[in-house]
Amino acid sequence: MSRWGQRALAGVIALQIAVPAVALTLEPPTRFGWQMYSGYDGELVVLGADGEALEYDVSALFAKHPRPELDWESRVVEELCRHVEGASSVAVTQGRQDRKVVPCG
Amino acid sequence: MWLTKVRVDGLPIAVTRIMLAVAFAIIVVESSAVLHQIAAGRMTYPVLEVIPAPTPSAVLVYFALGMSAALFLLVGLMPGFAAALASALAAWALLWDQQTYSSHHLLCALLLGYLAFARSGARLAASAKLRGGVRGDVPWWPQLLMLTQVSVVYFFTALSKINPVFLSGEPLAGWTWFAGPGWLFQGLAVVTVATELFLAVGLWVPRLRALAVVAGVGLHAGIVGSLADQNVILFGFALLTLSTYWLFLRRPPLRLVPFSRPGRATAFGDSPNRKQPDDVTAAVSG
Repeated sequence: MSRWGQRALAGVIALQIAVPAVALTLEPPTRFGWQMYSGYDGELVVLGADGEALEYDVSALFAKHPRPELDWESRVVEELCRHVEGASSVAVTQGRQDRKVVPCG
Repeated sequence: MWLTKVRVDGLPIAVTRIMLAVAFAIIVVESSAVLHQIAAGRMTYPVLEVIPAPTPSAVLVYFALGMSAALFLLVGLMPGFAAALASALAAWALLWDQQTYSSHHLLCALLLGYLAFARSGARLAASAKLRGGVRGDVPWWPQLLMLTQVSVVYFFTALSKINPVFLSGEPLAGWTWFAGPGWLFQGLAVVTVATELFLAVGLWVPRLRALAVVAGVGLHAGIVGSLADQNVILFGFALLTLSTYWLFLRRPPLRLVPFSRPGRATAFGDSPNRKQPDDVTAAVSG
Protein backbone atom coordinates (compact mmCIF):
# COMPACT_ATOMS: atom_id res chain seq x y z
CA MET A 1 0.00 0.00 0.00
CA SER A 2 1.32 3.40 -0.82
CA ARG A 3 -0.12 6.58 -2.22
CA TRP A 4 -3.45 4.98 -3.16
CA GLY A 5 -3.60 3.11 0.11
CA GLN A 6 -3.11 6.33 1.98
CA ARG A 7 -5.81 8.02 -0.08
CA ALA A 8 -8.20 5.13 0.48
CA LEU A 9 -7.55 5.40 4.20
CA ALA A 10 -8.30 9.12 4.16
CA GLY A 11 -11.41 8.40 2.08
CA VAL A 12 -12.74 5.87 4.59
CA ILE A 13 -12.19 8.27 7.48
CA ALA A 14 -13.92 11.03 5.52
CA LEU A 15 -16.89 8.69 4.95
CA GLN A 16 -16.97 7.76 8.63
CA ILE A 17 -17.49 11.44 9.41
CA ALA A 18 -19.58 12.50 6.40
CA VAL A 19 -22.33 9.87 6.68
CA PRO A 20 -23.43 10.68 10.25
CA ALA A 21 -22.90 14.39 9.56
CA VAL A 22 -25.44 14.18 6.73
CA ALA A 23 -27.72 12.03 8.90
CA LEU A 24 -27.62 14.73 11.53
CA THR A 25 -29.28 17.15 9.09
CA LEU A 26 -32.20 14.76 8.48
CA GLU A 27 -35.26 14.10 10.59
CA PRO A 28 -34.07 12.21 13.69
CA PRO A 29 -33.54 9.45 14.48
CA THR A 30 -31.88 8.44 11.23
CA ARG A 31 -30.05 5.28 10.34
CA PHE A 32 -26.25 5.49 10.01
CA GLY A 33 -26.31 8.58 12.25
CA TRP A 34 -25.30 6.94 15.55
CA GLN A 35 -28.37 8.49 17.12
CA MET A 36 -29.14 5.68 19.54
CA TYR A 37 -30.91 6.47 22.78
CA SER A 38 -31.31 10.10 21.75
CA GLY A 39 -34.85 10.27 23.09
CA TYR A 40 -36.56 10.25 19.71
CA ASP A 41 -38.85 7.31 20.14
CA GLY A 42 -42.48 7.28 19.23
CA GLU A 43 -45.87 5.72 19.62
CA LEU A 44 -48.22 3.74 17.42
CA VAL A 45 -51.87 3.84 18.48
CA VAL A 46 -54.42 1.86 16.50
CA LEU A 47 -57.75 3.66 16.36
CA GLY A 48 -61.21 2.22 15.82
CA ALA A 49 -64.03 3.78 13.80
CA ASP A 50 -65.00 6.09 16.68
CA GLY A 51 -61.45 7.13 17.35
CA GLU A 52 -61.05 4.85 20.33
CA ALA A 53 -57.64 3.28 20.97
CA LEU A 54 -57.56 -0.46 20.26
CA GLU A 55 -55.28 -2.80 22.13
CA TYR A 56 -52.97 -5.10 20.19
CA ASP A 57 -50.14 -7.48 20.90
CA VAL A 58 -46.93 -6.00 19.46
CA SER A 59 -45.07 -9.29 19.70
CA ALA A 60 -47.73 -11.08 17.65
CA LEU A 61 -47.21 -8.73 14.70
CA PHE A 62 -43.59 -7.62 14.81
CA ALA A 63 -40.30 -9.37 15.44
CA LYS A 64 -39.61 -6.56 17.88
CA HIS A 65 -41.18 -3.18 18.48
CA PRO A 66 -40.58 -1.19 15.29
CA ARG A 67 -37.51 0.97 15.72
CA PRO A 68 -37.99 4.71 15.33
CA GLU A 69 -35.50 4.79 12.45
CA LEU A 70 -37.99 2.85 10.30
CA ASP A 71 -40.63 4.55 8.21
CA TRP A 72 -43.73 3.70 10.24
CA GLU A 73 -46.26 5.36 7.97
CA SER A 74 -46.15 2.81 5.20
CA ARG A 75 -45.48 -0.82 5.98
CA VAL A 76 -45.94 -0.68 9.77
CA VAL A 77 -49.32 1.06 9.50
CA GLU A 78 -50.37 -1.40 6.78
CA GLU A 79 -49.49 -4.29 9.05
CA LEU A 80 -51.46 -2.88 11.96
CA CYS A 81 -54.48 -2.13 9.79
CA ARG A 82 -54.42 -5.64 8.34
CA HIS A 83 -54.16 -7.50 11.62
CA VAL A 84 -55.86 -5.45 14.34
CA GLU A 85 -59.55 -6.15 14.28
CA GLY A 86 -61.69 -3.04 13.93
CA ALA A 87 -58.79 -0.76 13.01
CA SER A 88 -59.74 2.23 10.91
CA SER A 89 -56.63 4.36 11.35
CA VAL A 90 -53.29 4.51 13.13
CA ALA A 91 -52.00 7.49 15.07
CA VAL A 92 -48.27 7.76 14.46
CA THR A 93 -45.99 9.84 16.65
CA GLN A 94 -42.41 9.36 15.52
CA GLY A 95 -39.27 11.23 16.36
CA ARG A 96 -40.00 14.92 16.83
CA GLN A 97 -42.82 14.92 14.29
CA ASP A 98 -46.34 15.81 15.40
CA ARG A 99 -48.92 13.08 15.86
CA LYS A 100 -50.28 12.06 12.49
CA VAL A 101 -53.38 9.95 11.93
CA VAL A 102 -52.96 7.63 8.95
CA PRO A 103 -56.22 6.05 7.72
CA CYS A 104 -56.31 2.35 6.90
CA GLY A 105 -56.79 1.23 3.31
CA MET B 1 7.41 6.07 4.27
CA TRP B 2 3.66 5.86 4.31
CA LEU B 3 1.15 5.85 7.12
CA THR B 4 -0.01 2.51 5.81
CA LYS B 5 3.39 1.03 6.59
CA VAL B 6 3.47 1.88 10.29
CA ARG B 7 3.53 -1.31 12.32
CA VAL B 8 2.74 -1.88 15.97
CA ASP B 9 2.77 -4.65 18.56
CA GLY B 10 0.18 -7.32 17.79
CA LEU B 11 -1.04 -7.98 21.33
CA PRO B 12 -3.63 -5.18 21.71
CA ILE B 13 -5.38 -6.00 18.42
CA ALA B 14 -5.49 -9.67 19.47
CA VAL B 15 -7.39 -8.65 22.59
CA THR B 16 -9.65 -6.49 20.42
CA ARG B 17 -10.34 -9.53 18.24
CA ILE B 18 -11.37 -11.62 21.24
CA MET B 19 -13.72 -8.92 22.55
CA LEU B 20 -15.24 -8.40 19.10
CA ALA B 21 -15.79 -12.16 18.81
CA VAL B 22 -17.92 -12.13 21.95
CA ALA B 23 -19.78 -8.99 20.85
CA PHE B 24 -20.44 -10.50 17.43
CA ALA B 25 -21.78 -13.71 19.00
CA ILE B 26 -24.26 -11.64 21.02
CA ILE B 27 -25.33 -9.79 17.87
CA VAL B 28 -25.75 -13.02 15.93
CA VAL B 29 -28.05 -14.36 18.64
CA GLU B 30 -29.99 -11.10 18.74
CA SER B 31 -30.40 -10.77 14.98
CA SER B 32 -31.17 -14.48 14.57
CA ALA B 33 -34.01 -14.09 17.05
CA VAL B 34 -35.43 -11.17 15.05
CA LEU B 35 -34.99 -12.98 11.73
CA HIS B 36 -36.52 -16.15 13.16
CA GLN B 37 -39.61 -14.20 14.19
CA ILE B 38 -39.86 -12.73 10.70
CA ALA B 39 -39.46 -16.16 9.16
CA ALA B 40 -42.23 -17.39 11.44
CA GLY B 41 -44.69 -14.89 9.97
CA ARG B 42 -44.11 -11.51 11.61
CA MET B 43 -43.95 -8.40 9.45
CA THR B 44 -41.21 -8.35 6.84
CA TYR B 45 -39.52 -5.05 6.06
CA PRO B 46 -36.92 -5.73 3.36
CA VAL B 47 -34.30 -3.15 2.47
CA LEU B 48 -34.59 -4.23 -1.17
CA GLU B 49 -37.62 -6.10 -2.46
CA VAL B 50 -35.38 -8.35 -4.58
CA ILE B 51 -33.77 -9.85 -1.48
CA PRO B 52 -35.65 -13.02 -0.49
CA ALA B 53 -37.37 -12.90 2.89
CA PRO B 54 -35.79 -14.92 5.71
CA THR B 55 -36.84 -18.54 5.96
CA PRO B 56 -36.31 -20.76 9.03
CA SER B 57 -33.60 -22.80 7.32
CA ALA B 58 -31.81 -19.72 5.96
CA VAL B 59 -31.82 -18.15 9.42
CA LEU B 60 -30.37 -21.36 10.83
CA VAL B 61 -27.55 -21.24 8.27
CA TYR B 62 -26.92 -17.58 9.17
CA PHE B 63 -26.82 -18.48 12.86
CA ALA B 64 -24.46 -21.44 12.32
CA LEU B 65 -22.11 -19.45 10.11
CA GLY B 66 -22.17 -16.51 12.50
CA MET B 67 -21.39 -18.56 15.58
CA SER B 68 -18.65 -20.41 13.70
CA ALA B 69 -17.07 -17.12 12.65
CA ALA B 70 -17.31 -15.87 16.24
CA LEU B 71 -15.63 -19.03 17.52
CA PHE B 72 -12.85 -18.81 14.94
CA LEU B 73 -12.28 -15.19 15.90
CA LEU B 74 -12.25 -16.05 19.59
CA VAL B 75 -9.56 -18.69 19.26
CA GLY B 76 -7.73 -16.91 16.45
CA LEU B 77 -8.14 -19.52 13.77
CA MET B 78 -7.94 -17.90 10.31
CA PRO B 79 -8.87 -14.64 12.01
CA GLY B 80 -8.66 -12.48 8.89
CA PHE B 81 -11.07 -14.71 7.03
CA ALA B 82 -13.29 -15.11 10.09
CA ALA B 83 -13.48 -11.33 10.58
CA ALA B 84 -14.33 -10.80 6.90
CA LEU B 85 -17.02 -13.49 7.07
CA ALA B 86 -18.41 -12.07 10.30
CA SER B 87 -18.50 -8.56 8.83
CA ALA B 88 -20.24 -9.85 5.70
CA LEU B 89 -22.78 -11.77 7.77
CA ALA B 90 -23.50 -8.73 9.91
CA ALA B 91 -23.96 -6.64 6.77
CA TRP B 92 -26.17 -9.33 5.25
CA ALA B 93 -28.45 -9.37 8.30
CA LEU B 94 -28.81 -5.59 7.99
CA LEU B 95 -29.75 -5.98 4.33
CA TRP B 96 -32.03 -8.95 4.92
CA ASP B 97 -34.63 -6.98 6.85
CA GLN B 98 -34.71 -3.44 8.15
CA GLN B 99 -35.87 -4.65 11.56
CA THR B 100 -32.41 -6.01 12.31
CA TYR B 101 -30.94 -2.50 12.20
CA SER B 102 -29.31 -1.13 15.29
CA SER B 103 -26.34 1.12 15.81
CA HIS B 104 -24.39 -1.58 17.63
CA HIS B 105 -25.05 -4.05 14.82
CA LEU B 106 -23.76 -1.55 12.25
CA LEU B 107 -20.75 -0.68 14.40
CA CYS B 108 -19.94 -4.37 14.77
CA ALA B 109 -20.06 -4.89 10.98
CA LEU B 110 -17.69 -1.96 10.45
CA LEU B 111 -15.20 -2.88 13.18
CA LEU B 112 -15.07 -6.47 11.95
CA GLY B 113 -14.49 -5.18 8.43
CA TYR B 114 -11.45 -3.22 9.62
CA LEU B 115 -10.34 -6.16 11.76
CA ALA B 116 -10.21 -8.37 8.68
CA PHE B 117 -7.13 -6.40 7.55
CA ALA B 118 -5.53 -6.07 10.97
CA ARG B 119 -3.57 -9.36 11.10
CA SER B 120 -5.09 -9.92 14.50
CA GLY B 121 -3.84 -13.51 14.61
CA ALA B 122 -0.25 -12.50 15.30
CA ARG B 123 -0.77 -12.99 19.04
CA LEU B 124 -3.10 -15.01 21.29
CA ALA B 125 -4.19 -17.05 18.30
CA ALA B 126 -4.42 -20.71 17.40
CA SER B 127 -3.21 -19.91 13.89
CA ALA B 128 -0.01 -18.37 15.27
CA LYS B 129 0.61 -21.47 17.37
CA LEU B 130 -0.04 -23.72 14.36
CA ARG B 131 2.53 -21.74 12.41
CA GLY B 132 4.98 -22.50 15.16
CA GLY B 133 5.49 -19.07 16.60
CA VAL B 134 4.16 -15.57 16.95
CA ARG B 135 4.66 -12.69 14.58
CA GLY B 136 5.09 -9.67 16.77
CA ASP B 137 4.07 -6.64 14.80
CA VAL B 138 1.07 -5.82 12.68
CA PRO B 139 -0.02 -2.96 10.39
CA TRP B 140 -1.51 -0.04 12.28
CA TRP B 141 -3.80 1.45 9.64
CA PRO B 142 -6.75 -0.92 10.31
CA GLN B 143 -6.49 0.02 13.97
CA LEU B 144 -6.54 3.69 13.02
CA LEU B 145 -9.85 3.11 11.21
CA MET B 146 -11.25 1.39 14.29
CA LEU B 147 -10.21 4.27 16.50
CA THR B 148 -11.62 6.97 14.24
CA GLN B 149 -14.83 4.94 13.87
CA VAL B 150 -15.36 4.68 17.61
CA SER B 151 -14.58 8.37 18.10
CA VAL B 152 -17.10 9.26 15.41
CA VAL B 153 -19.72 7.12 17.14
CA TYR B 154 -19.13 8.86 20.47
CA PHE B 155 -19.15 12.30 18.86
CA PHE B 156 -22.34 11.91 16.86
CA THR B 157 -24.25 10.05 19.52
CA ALA B 158 -23.44 12.93 21.87
CA LEU B 159 -24.54 15.51 19.30
CA SER B 160 -27.82 13.70 18.67
CA LYS B 161 -28.54 13.72 22.40
CA ILE B 162 -28.25 17.49 22.61
CA ASN B 163 -31.98 18.00 22.24
CA PRO B 164 -34.69 19.11 24.66
CA VAL B 165 -36.24 15.65 24.87
CA PHE B 166 -33.11 13.78 25.98
CA LEU B 167 -31.79 16.61 28.16
CA SER B 168 -35.12 16.78 30.00
CA GLY B 169 -34.11 13.49 31.58
CA GLU B 170 -37.52 11.96 30.91
CA PRO B 171 -36.32 9.30 28.44
CA LEU B 172 -33.60 8.23 30.87
CA ALA B 173 -36.12 8.00 33.70
CA GLY B 174 -38.19 5.68 31.52
CA TRP B 175 -35.26 3.47 30.53
CA THR B 176 -33.67 2.91 33.94
CA TRP B 177 -34.80 0.26 36.43
CA PHE B 178 -34.67 2.68 39.35
CA ALA B 179 -36.79 5.69 40.16
CA GLY B 180 -35.56 9.10 41.20
CA PRO B 181 -36.30 12.79 41.14
CA GLY B 182 -36.37 14.64 37.82
CA TRP B 183 -33.20 16.59 38.57
CA LEU B 184 -31.27 13.33 38.93
CA PHE B 185 -32.15 12.19 35.43
CA GLN B 186 -31.57 15.67 34.00
CA GLY B 187 -28.13 15.56 35.57
CA LEU B 188 -27.45 12.07 34.26
CA ALA B 189 -28.49 13.17 30.78
CA VAL B 190 -26.05 16.09 30.84
CA VAL B 191 -23.27 13.88 32.25
CA THR B 192 -23.91 11.30 29.53
CA VAL B 193 -23.58 13.85 26.73
CA ALA B 194 -20.52 15.44 28.33
CA THR B 195 -18.86 12.05 28.81
CA GLU B 196 -19.49 10.99 25.23
CA LEU B 197 -18.09 14.27 23.90
CA PHE B 198 -15.08 13.89 26.19
CA LEU B 199 -14.48 10.34 24.96
CA ALA B 200 -14.61 11.44 21.31
CA VAL B 201 -11.64 13.73 21.99
CA GLY B 202 -10.04 12.56 25.21
CA LEU B 203 -9.12 9.09 24.01
CA TRP B 204 -6.80 10.75 21.48
CA VAL B 205 -5.05 13.07 23.93
CA PRO B 206 -2.15 11.38 25.73
CA ARG B 207 -2.62 13.39 28.91
CA LEU B 208 -6.34 12.65 29.03
CA ARG B 209 -6.63 9.16 27.67
CA ALA B 210 -6.22 7.29 30.96
CA LEU B 211 -8.99 9.43 32.41
CA ALA B 212 -11.00 8.88 29.24
CA VAL B 213 -10.64 5.12 29.60
CA VAL B 214 -11.92 5.31 33.17
CA ALA B 215 -14.79 7.56 32.05
CA GLY B 216 -15.62 5.24 29.15
CA VAL B 217 -15.62 2.12 31.29
CA GLY B 218 -17.76 3.96 33.83
CA LEU B 219 -20.18 5.15 31.15
CA HIS B 220 -20.66 1.71 29.66
CA ALA B 221 -20.86 0.00 33.05
CA GLY B 222 -23.45 2.59 34.06
CA ILE B 223 -25.48 1.97 30.91
CA VAL B 224 -25.40 -1.81 31.27
CA GLY B 225 -26.10 -1.69 34.99
CA SER B 226 -28.81 0.94 35.12
CA LEU B 227 -31.00 0.36 32.10
CA ALA B 228 -33.95 -1.93 32.66
CA ASP B 229 -33.95 -3.76 29.32
CA GLN B 230 -31.57 -5.15 26.74
CA ASN B 231 -28.68 -5.45 29.18
CA VAL B 232 -26.98 -8.27 27.29
CA ILE B 233 -27.19 -6.31 24.05
CA LEU B 234 -25.87 -3.23 25.79
CA PHE B 235 -23.04 -5.35 27.15
CA GLY B 236 -22.28 -6.31 23.55
CA PHE B 237 -22.22 -2.65 22.57
CA ALA B 238 -19.90 -1.93 25.49
CA LEU B 239 -17.57 -4.69 24.28
CA LEU B 240 -17.48 -3.16 20.80
CA THR B 241 -16.32 0.24 21.98
CA LEU B 242 -14.18 -0.95 24.89
CA SER B 243 -12.38 -3.34 22.56
CA THR B 244 -10.60 -0.34 21.05
CA TYR B 245 -9.48 1.25 24.32
CA TRP B 246 -6.17 -0.59 24.54
CA LEU B 247 -5.56 0.40 20.92
CA PHE B 248 -6.04 4.03 21.98
CA LEU B 249 -3.64 3.56 24.89
CA ARG B 250 -0.99 1.88 22.73
CA ARG B 251 -1.35 3.84 19.53
CA PRO B 252 1.70 5.50 17.97
CA PRO B 253 2.14 9.15 18.94
CA LEU B 254 0.44 11.19 16.22
CA ARG B 255 3.38 13.54 15.81
CA LEU B 256 5.42 10.52 14.81
CA VAL B 257 2.88 9.16 12.35
CA PRO B 258 3.60 10.17 8.76
CA PHE B 259 0.47 11.77 7.39
CA SER B 260 2.24 13.50 4.54
CA ARG B 261 4.32 12.49 1.57
CA PRO B 262 7.39 10.25 1.72
CA GLY B 263 10.56 11.86 2.96
CA ARG B 264 8.74 13.80 5.65
CA ALA B 265 7.76 10.78 7.61
CA THR B 266 8.96 10.16 11.11
CA ALA B 267 9.21 6.93 12.98
CA PHE B 268 9.16 6.18 16.67
CA GLY B 269 12.07 7.67 18.52
CA ASP B 270 13.55 9.17 15.38
CA SER B 271 14.41 12.77 14.88
CA PRO B 272 12.26 14.62 12.35
CA ASN B 273 15.17 15.06 9.94
CA ARG B 274 16.43 11.53 10.01
CA LYS B 275 16.11 9.56 6.78
CA GLN B 276 13.41 6.94 7.17
CA PRO B 277 13.43 3.29 6.26
CA ASP B 278 10.66 1.99 4.03
CA ASP B 279 9.01 0.07 6.75
CA VAL B 280 8.74 1.23 10.30
CA THR B 281 8.14 -1.10 13.17
CA ALA B 282 6.80 0.75 16.09
CA ALA B 283 7.83 -0.30 19.52
CA VAL B 284 4.87 1.46 20.99
CA SER B 285 5.06 2.61 24.52
CA GLY B 286 2.23 5.13 24.46
